[in-house]
Amino acid sequence: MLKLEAICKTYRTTEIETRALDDVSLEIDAGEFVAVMGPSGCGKSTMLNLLGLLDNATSGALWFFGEDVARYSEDKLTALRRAKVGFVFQSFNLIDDLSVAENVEVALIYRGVSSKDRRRRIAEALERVGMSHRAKHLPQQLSGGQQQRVAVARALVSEPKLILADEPTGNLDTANGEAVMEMLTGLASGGTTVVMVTHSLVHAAAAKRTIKLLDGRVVSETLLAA
Amino acid sequence: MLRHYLIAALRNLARNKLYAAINIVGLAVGFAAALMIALFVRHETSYDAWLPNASSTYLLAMSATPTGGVPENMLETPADLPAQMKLDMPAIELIARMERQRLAVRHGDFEASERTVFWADPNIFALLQLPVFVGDLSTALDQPGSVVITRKMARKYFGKDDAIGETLELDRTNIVKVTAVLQDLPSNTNLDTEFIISGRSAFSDLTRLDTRADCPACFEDDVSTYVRLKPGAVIGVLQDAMPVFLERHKHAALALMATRQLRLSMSFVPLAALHTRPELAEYMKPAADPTILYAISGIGLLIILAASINFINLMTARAARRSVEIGIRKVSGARRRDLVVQFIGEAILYVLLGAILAVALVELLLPLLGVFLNATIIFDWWRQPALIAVIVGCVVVVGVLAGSYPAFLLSSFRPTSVLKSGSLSVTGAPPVRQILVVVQFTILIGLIVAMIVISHQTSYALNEGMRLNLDQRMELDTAASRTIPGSTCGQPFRDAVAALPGVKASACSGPFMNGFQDFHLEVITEKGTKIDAAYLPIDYGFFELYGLRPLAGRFFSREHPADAVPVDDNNQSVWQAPIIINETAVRAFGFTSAADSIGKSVTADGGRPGNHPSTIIGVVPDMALDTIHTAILPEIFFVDVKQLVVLFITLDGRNIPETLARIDRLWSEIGAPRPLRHTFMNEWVQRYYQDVIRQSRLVTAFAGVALFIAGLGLFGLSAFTAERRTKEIGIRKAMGANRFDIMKLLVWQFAKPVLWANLIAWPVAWYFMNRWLHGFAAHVELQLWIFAAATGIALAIALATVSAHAFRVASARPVAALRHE
Repeated sequence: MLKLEAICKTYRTTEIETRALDDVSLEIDAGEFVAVMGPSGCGKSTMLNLLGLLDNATSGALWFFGEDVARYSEDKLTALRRAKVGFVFQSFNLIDDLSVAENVEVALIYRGVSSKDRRRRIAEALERVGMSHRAKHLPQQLSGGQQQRVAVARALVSEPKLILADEPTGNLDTANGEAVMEMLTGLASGGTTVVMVTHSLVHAAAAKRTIKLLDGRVVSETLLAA
Repeated sequence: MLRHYLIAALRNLARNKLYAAINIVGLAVGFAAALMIALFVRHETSYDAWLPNASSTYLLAMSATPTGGVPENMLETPADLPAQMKLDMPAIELIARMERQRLAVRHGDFEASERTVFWADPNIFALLQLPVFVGDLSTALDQPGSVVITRKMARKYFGKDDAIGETLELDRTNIVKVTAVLQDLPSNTNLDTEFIISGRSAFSDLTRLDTRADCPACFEDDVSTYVRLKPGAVIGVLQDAMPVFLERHKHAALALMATRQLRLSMSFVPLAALHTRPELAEYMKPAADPTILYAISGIGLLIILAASINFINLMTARAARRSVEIGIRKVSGARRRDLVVQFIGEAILYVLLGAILAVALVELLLPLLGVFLNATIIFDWWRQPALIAVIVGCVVVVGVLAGSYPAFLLSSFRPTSVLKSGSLSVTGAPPVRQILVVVQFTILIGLIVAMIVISHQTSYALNEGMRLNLDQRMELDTAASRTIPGSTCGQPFRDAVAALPGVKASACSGPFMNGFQDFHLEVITEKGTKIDAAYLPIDYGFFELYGLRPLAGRFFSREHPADAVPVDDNNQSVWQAPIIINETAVRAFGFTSAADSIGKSVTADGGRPGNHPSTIIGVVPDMALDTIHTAILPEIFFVDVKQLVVLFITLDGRNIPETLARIDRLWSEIGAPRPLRHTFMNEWVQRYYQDVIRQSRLVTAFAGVALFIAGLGLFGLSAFTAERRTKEIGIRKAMGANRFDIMKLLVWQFAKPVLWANLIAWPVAWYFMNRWLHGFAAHVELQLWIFAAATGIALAIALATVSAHAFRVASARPVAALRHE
């Protein structure tokens, strides 16, 4: 479903060139729950951004649901992303000026869902993450754990085929972290592909497969027995 | 500490070049515009105030008020008054007369028809102390046949500045000798004089007036009477003495006025106030309307307001960027007051830089403004400490006003919250910014409405409002041919002109076009109502020449010999012939329609023996015969060949110079005493309407400046907003928003204030423009499309300035936006 072939990604500033991903090849099947681990700066987030079509690779091929998207235009990438991907970020990335429900709604607006349908699906999504009672609050009025639940609700409300989570528990305490992990595991078992970047061995253990990156290269792949 | 603040301010300025540039350029352009407006207003309000003793110098004015009617003001007085006044009124130090006459001036082979020739009493220069180039003005006009000219005329006729002793020929008959040369007069003077000839000359028109036996109609004299008061004398006392003075001398004008049931009154108008008193009759130059001066000053203030709003918006928008600096300063012991002083100081620095740039800009643009306004506007700040003081004062006031809100907002940050997060969201500022942007667009939309209405009205006034097709139409003054026995309207010159190949049509009338409404008489309707109407003796084919068609009945025709006014036994015209009236007259005379009036009759100049009712044979559409500010009067037209003086012709538009040369040759062949004066009607209209044209240009130019400033501010604000919303945009893009969605989001944010602005701008603009339009007798209507167009233009400007940033941000990879935090 997702296939990286000899992907390289370099960032250039005026003085230095950083190779964030160096000849990475791997495959992720539909419905898989994959954890990506590695020290800071090893290229985890870069890989996630490429998988989420937020960025383009410098070289190599990226097969996204059967299409080679490496040379796709921004508009085409947007259309694919809109149809298939949901995101959960470490820093939640909620829009400060919008309420909880409106933040969740953002994921539906651009998919052309009717307003009646949107209301129903937002209510369902907030119900699933246990945030229904906070629908009218602004992000600043919520705790970190609550904000991340809202972010998860936003990721799942559009029923994406692929959820990309970038250290979703990184800013959360243990209890809230557990809760978020439960939600992601639940989604994966429901058939959604989940790729999660994490520093936590405990949370990585929830995944079927763990990929370790170091200096932009895949150094190991561990398949966990079910 | 001051040095420290200055360094912080300059570094902040250098670090934020775009915002600094937008602020300073906006302020500079705003200031430059305001400064030019101020200079223009100073020019308009300083007419003749620069003359020595201007404050004690007055022009005698006269007004004739019909019982229960509106006074008619005149700045010309009977020629015989001054001598008597000087004897009777000891408060008068000096009194002198000037009288304008259009003459042909010749030197050698060079001859031109001059509008700026005046006869004057010899003491005129004691009263009007004009700057002299060469010669002694105190004695220059003592000798009959002496003339004082300007340097410009000296160069024109003699090719040199010092023309003393040279001679000029007037109307090819009289010789005058130059005794002094004046400096060229500045443009802020009503003394539109280039030639001042001694009134003592035997051939002077003043001499003619002084030596006539009596003057029953002497209130029709065209003499300007200047008065200088003795030091300490009060003009009010003189004013109050005038009725008694007129009574005592049983002035002939009084008796004549009485027979016409007019009340005569006299007043003294300060010389320096003349230009801003448009209710007085048109003086030598068209007067400036004080309401327009106020309006233009108001626009200047609005422009500064718009530039200040940019400043406030960008300062507060960027506030968060300086939060760490503020936090550290506060932690280090700065009081709120210190920070307020720092930020207001910074604001003043910005405004000062803007003002310096503005002064340079004004220096650069001033000649252009002069051409634009047809005036010499002087910006002599280095010679005028007062002007520098005003500019510096403005800098401080604008700096403090514009700097206060950002200063208080910035200084209110709590240091802990600032330093913990490293930045902060400025709560409270966005609504204020929104409101200020709305205010800015209100100004903008209001000015665009004004711009459209004024140019619409101007083009209406110059085109449809005239209702006369003036293209290729020309008026020729044949008055000089009257000395040729049996010649009316220059016959046989007229027939010869009509026969020229380049001339398509010709017809005569009594007065020039600008005098079409000058002659009044009383009309008695069939029901006995008396109505004041204008009358105009015309020629066959007169209406046809202007492309007019009768609304009812017919125009005059040679095929109806009875159309012409008959002559009585004394060779005097008799009011008995058929007449044509205009639309206004149809209503005024009480007819239900144009058709209804045909065949009915009215009596002109009622009561005078020999006048009989005249039958109305046709109705002509109303045409603007006077300035557009003056209402169209009921008018009656009749054919009276004895009164025809001005020949109107239509050229076919080909070989115009050749045709004109032929006309001039025909004129000299009939032996007329002076060259033919001809004016293209369009030229005349341009001159007559120059105040309207000028207003239109001014408002357009300054609305353009406001447009630029508002656009600049919006550009800065949208750049900032795009930056501030980068994270949000990243999120939205990650959620699947495409470029178009993001553009829509950002553009709509700036379209909203434009739409809100309409709520205020439309009614305010409607109110003011409606009032302005009502100053015109004939005017366009305020239509919805004007307002919609103004909104459309404002919206287009908002979108154009915002789109660039919006597109850039919307096109960026979402990962870039997300990593931005």
